[in-house]
Amino acid sequence: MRVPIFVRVERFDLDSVGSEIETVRDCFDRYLDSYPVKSARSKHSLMGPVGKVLQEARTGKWDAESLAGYALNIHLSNPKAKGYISQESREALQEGVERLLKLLKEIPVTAQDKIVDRVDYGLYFLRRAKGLEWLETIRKEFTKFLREKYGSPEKLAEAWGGKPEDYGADFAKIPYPSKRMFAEATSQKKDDIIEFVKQAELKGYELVEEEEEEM
Amino acid sequence: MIDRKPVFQNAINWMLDRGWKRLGAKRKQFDQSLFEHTLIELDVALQLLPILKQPSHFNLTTEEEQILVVSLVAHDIGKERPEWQDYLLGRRDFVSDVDPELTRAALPDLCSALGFSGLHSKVMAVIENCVNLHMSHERRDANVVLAIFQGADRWYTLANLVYHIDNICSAKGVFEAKAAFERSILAKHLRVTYHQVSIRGVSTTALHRAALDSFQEAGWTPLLHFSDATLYVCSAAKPVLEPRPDQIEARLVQILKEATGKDVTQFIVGSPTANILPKPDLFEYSEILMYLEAATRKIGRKSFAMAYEREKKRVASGRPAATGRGKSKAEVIEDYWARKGKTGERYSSEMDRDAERISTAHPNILAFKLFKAAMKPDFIGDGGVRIARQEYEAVFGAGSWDSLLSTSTLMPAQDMAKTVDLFWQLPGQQFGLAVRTLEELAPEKRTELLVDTLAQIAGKVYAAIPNPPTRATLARKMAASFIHDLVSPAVQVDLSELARQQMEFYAVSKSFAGKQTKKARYICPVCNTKFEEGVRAKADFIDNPESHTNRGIAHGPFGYITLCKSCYYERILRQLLLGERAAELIIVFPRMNVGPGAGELLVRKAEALYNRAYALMVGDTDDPDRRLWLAFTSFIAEQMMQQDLYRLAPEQFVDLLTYRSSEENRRKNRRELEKRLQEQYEGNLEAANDEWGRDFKTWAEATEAVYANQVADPIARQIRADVYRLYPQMQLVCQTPHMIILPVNYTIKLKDDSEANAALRRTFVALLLGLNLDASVAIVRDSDQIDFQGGEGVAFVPAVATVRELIGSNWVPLSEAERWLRALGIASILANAGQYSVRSGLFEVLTAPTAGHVLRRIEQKKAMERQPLTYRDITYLRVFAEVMQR
Repeated sequence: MRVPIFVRVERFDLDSVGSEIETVRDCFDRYLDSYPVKSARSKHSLMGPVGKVLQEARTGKWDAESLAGYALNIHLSNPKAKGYISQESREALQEGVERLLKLLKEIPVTAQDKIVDRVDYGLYFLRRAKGLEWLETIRKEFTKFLREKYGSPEKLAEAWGGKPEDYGADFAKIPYPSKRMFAEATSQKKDDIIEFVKQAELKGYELVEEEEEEM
Repeated sequence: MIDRKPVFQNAINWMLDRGWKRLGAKRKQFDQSLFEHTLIELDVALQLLPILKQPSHFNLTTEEEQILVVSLVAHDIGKERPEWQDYLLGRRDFVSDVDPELTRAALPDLCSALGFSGLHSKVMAVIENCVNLHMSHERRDANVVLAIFQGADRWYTLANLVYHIDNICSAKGVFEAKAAFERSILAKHLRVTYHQVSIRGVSTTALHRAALDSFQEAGWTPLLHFSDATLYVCSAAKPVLEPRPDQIEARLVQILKEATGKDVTQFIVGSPTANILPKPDLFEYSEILMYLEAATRKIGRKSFAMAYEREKKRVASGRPAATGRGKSKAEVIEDYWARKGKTGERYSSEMDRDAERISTAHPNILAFKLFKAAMKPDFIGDGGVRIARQEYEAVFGAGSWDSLLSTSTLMPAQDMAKTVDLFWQLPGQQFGLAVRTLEELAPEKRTELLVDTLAQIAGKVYAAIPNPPTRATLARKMAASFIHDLVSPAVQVDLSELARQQMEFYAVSKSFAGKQTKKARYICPVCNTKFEEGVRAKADFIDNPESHTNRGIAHGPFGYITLCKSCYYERILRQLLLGERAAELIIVFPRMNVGPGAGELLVRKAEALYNRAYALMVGDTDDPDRRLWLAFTSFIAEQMMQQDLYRLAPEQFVDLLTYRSSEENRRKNRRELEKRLQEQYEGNLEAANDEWGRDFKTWAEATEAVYANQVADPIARQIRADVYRLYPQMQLVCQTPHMIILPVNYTIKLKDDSEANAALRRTFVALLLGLNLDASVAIVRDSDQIDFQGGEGVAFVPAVATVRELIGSNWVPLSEAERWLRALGIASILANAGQYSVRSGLFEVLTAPTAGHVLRRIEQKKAMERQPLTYRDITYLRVFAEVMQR
């Protein structure tokens, strides 16, 4: 009688490579910190060349250097990059690609898609959160600017029109000073936004146009 | 002498300030926070001090008492260090929980917090030794010699007391605690005993109360409560006797009498078309008038006539008379005519007249039905039946009793001919009324007269029989059943004989499952005990009583399962307490053990929590639009975000569980309230003002006052309650700290929730309660067996495989409780924001691979509605990513 053969397939534990996934994400995140995003509305745009890197990494046909070169080419093709990438960014991109490909080689094929998925969406969350946190910082600065100038929602309502409760007890309801808000503003409100933008630029803030559209 | 209460409260505040509720103290055998563990030991010490300080025992001075108290509070202070917490959670190797430097630094602050400001430096050294040498592994030669040099007086004895109290309080279960006690130096000074019960449910709380009171009355001091037991001590110099089981049973009868003493009319009067007396056990002879009145209200005087009119119109338009399988109303009347020896045309004026008569007679028919059921031989015996026959026939005429007995469930033709007609044809003179026959009386008057007459007959019967049916009998029967749950003190049983009997019953019970016979041998499908005489299960008190179980044989007919008497009484008791059948039970019990002081606090907190919840449920507030609904986890989570659960007062905690009706519903309810008020007073505001003793100028003003609960008139309040559905949906069963039960009459789930989603919501609510009350909490279905005893964790995870796999255990351990509470709360909010499926959205969010996946979904859904993603969404997602580590 033949000896029965038992096969036990163990499910790959994705959490066992959690720290490697996080490192890859961090590398790409560092790279994207200096990538000039075209529009924050789409995932495709927000992820820049990293989206393509992740897509191609799944195929298993690339080595690290070629894939990094491919990503670099996409970066430089972005008109906003003006044909430039800093050394730190390039290194971060390269490190991310290398680590990603190394990680994918070490894990079972069946888990590769899930790993790439985790890198992809995890990174997307980081980038999106950073964008919105940046807007929130500027909004708070704008609120502070108005609070210092007017002191109370009643006085702000006198200058801008509307009711004090529209602006919240502690100016908490004042939104981000977006392009749309500027376009719709009249008289004093418009002047205040212009004054704030000037002050913000002096402080080194850069009011990102594309992100403004979110508000 | 130490003043117990302020010391206890000050110690609590000191520990809360140090964040000890968030830190663990025990994990191996059971979960316990550093706060709970220390509090229990302090509690036990404060219970023991009055005995230990006696000259015949340790003869402790006040200073020594203070040393002991401070040492107990500080003895585990080393556990608050992050490295020890990491060790507890298995994140690093062993590290001692004793830290002399930390002890030295914390002691002055602790002493001052406890109000022991006069302790001098020498005493502090003794305390340090007590604290630092309380663990046996720290009693190295060098440490002991150092302590001898530093210390003075009886530091060794005091350190030993700390050591042994720590051991007793760290034991898992009452037996280990008793054994630890008997091994300690306390064993020479104190006698120790315990009571233990087998956990069943609501009845267990009453049994605990009876046992605890009996032991205390006998002179025992409770030391530690477990969910199923209490450990007691008394001075060995003045030993006292343990109470006997029969004494505990007698006390249990009194407790159950109180519990069953409330208005049970709604349970007594059953269905007009099925069983009119579904719970005969609850029958109380002195309440017969109330039951008869309730029976007459069970059915209206117009329903039969209206159905007849509809039928007549149907027939006139050429459609069939009967819509279902039953008789048409015309056939019913023809049946009545046949019994009376009459004939006539269908839908003639004569038939119209009798349709009206039969319709009007319905409340009377119900009164006769209830009376007949109350006069059964089971209730009043054969002697009672003889008297009933005599009295009944004296009023209704010869042969009327047999006519009554020949009626069955509601059959209007038969009932009319055999009971109502006899009554209506009685001369008015017989009752001192100026009418020829009673049929000439107004229907209300006639019904009232019938109810009085039947109540009088019943009263005469009950007065003449030796043991009229009473609920006191029920309390005795219940107590006799529940006392079998008392494991100790109990009559000794021969275990091998018991096992043999159980085997014997188990061997034969299969063929009896689903059948009720006199020779039957059963094993209870709920509590697994053997019994011979039980109760046939009904859907009224258990789910699916007819569904086949594998405890029965696989072939042949299967009727209803049979429950043991104890399980039946347990369910009756639950219904009595809640006023209806509970859907779910929220069970709160100590995580492992609790001292009497902390137990009292737990009971007070639970009562305060319930009182606030009750006020909200019955609208005893100025805002009836504020509602309590435990399934709205996203609302609760949003309100909970900024709160420190550990420091919330019970009232504040309940407010977190509330929501306010939507603007649209608020307007709708307000309109309805005004409409109902105007209807009640027929649009006459002056009449309403007269009734209420107020002077409202407009209906709007009056409605506003009624809305805000400012009109004390009972009718106005009833209308408000009806419009806003202000009725208690939860009860509190809280006798002792061993086990507190909150029966809820709704299932804690949203309408379309899947099993997994509902299980997650229950876990969330259990975690909330468990963390706020410092207890273990389980939410189970009414028909589930309660098979946990404490020490398992903070919150019970319902038996849904996917949910248990997600959480990783059957109970959420203390170390994971806060994380899961936040995760479930945030996931509820995100599931709404991302418009996930109403069925399983909560589960989907929790199983999303990364926060980015949830973010993408929210973005896409918001984009469809042209809404922007907000900073708030990101804040929630950040928390989600942090707690779920994704």
